[in-house]
Amino acid sequence: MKAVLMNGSPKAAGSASGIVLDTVADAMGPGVESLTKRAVTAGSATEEDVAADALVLAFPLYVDCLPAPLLEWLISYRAIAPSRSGRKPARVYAICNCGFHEAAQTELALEVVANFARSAGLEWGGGLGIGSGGMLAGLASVPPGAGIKRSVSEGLDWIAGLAARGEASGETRFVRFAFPRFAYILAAHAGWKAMARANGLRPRDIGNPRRTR
Amino acid sequence: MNVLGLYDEKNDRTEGAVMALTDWSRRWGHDARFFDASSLAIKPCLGCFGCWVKTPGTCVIADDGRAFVEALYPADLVVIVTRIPFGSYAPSVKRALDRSLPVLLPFFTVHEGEMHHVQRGGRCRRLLHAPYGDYGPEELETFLGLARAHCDNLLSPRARRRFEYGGEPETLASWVAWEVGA
Repeated sequence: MKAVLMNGSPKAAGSASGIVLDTVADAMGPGVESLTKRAVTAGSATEEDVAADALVLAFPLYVDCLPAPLLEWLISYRAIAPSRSGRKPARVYAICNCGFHEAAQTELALEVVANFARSAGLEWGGGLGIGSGGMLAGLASVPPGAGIKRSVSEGLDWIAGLAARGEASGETRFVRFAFPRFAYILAAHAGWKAMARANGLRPRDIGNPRRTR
Repeated sequence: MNVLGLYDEKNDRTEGAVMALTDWSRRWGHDARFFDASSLAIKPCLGCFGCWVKTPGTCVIADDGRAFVEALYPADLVVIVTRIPFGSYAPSVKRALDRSLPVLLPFFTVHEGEMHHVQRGGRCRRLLHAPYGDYGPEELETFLGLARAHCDNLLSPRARRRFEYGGEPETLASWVAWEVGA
């Protein structure tokens, strides 16, 4: 079984989607014949992508949906998907992380990927929505079994297992870190202010109509 | 009222939509401006949050994305006319919307039971979404969900009636007029 793990973040490096895919790659185990990591920043879909048996997409939520470059990549994939004809349809899995606390805000973005799968003649393997995604990077070194992280780790294990076994459940699950919403919001606000200070701004400058340097 | 139209590309349908909305705007004394998203040179949003914590209110990427956001700031009504591949926005429209982050603040509020961003300057806009082209029922349902979520995200009232743009510009203009009560 050949798998392509596609990082749908427009960030060239240091994305939360990259952390997600590293975890999935580790969890997929040695049974996978070849595992190729790709980034949407590298351009359109290739014949190698279409030849893969499993496609695992990880991406951040942008305006309730996929980032534009990933959407363009899916369209490029569909254009060359007929080259796979005669073989068993590839399975598509999607993992969407969002900065909002509620993982369910990723539901429509995952639906878009399911619609893509149907449109390109692929099997919809399943989707995982991750809420409070702002914590993914900060908790990357925390062990998977830790309480705060357990739900997210189990979700990633679940979808990695589906992909590794070649199963298509078509199910969508939502997970988030075990951290209350009010505290998440307070921490996020403190974080934005710290980032502004690091850039030489005062926290109140954040709300200015349009400040440019 | 300040009206901003955003459409995916120039074709018979979108040109008809622009003409009908221009006529309607002129009749009611609205200022209207339209963007053909396919003609804009817009790089993808990098999710760097520079528009929040480095140059608040302005994207750090200097391209047509800035011009789009400058037009978005004063808009009272935004009308989006787009094809809906996989139930999403067309990529050209999505690129422009992805770059609209500066009109939000990084700070959160709870709206309709969900976390959303506070609007920069406390300004809320009406948003109307007109899907067109070839699509199936699943894609339409997904897109209408996205349209509702987009309104929630900008703390804007949702459309009262579902609408599909079948290529009759007058019907589109009538729907827009009915939605905004003018």
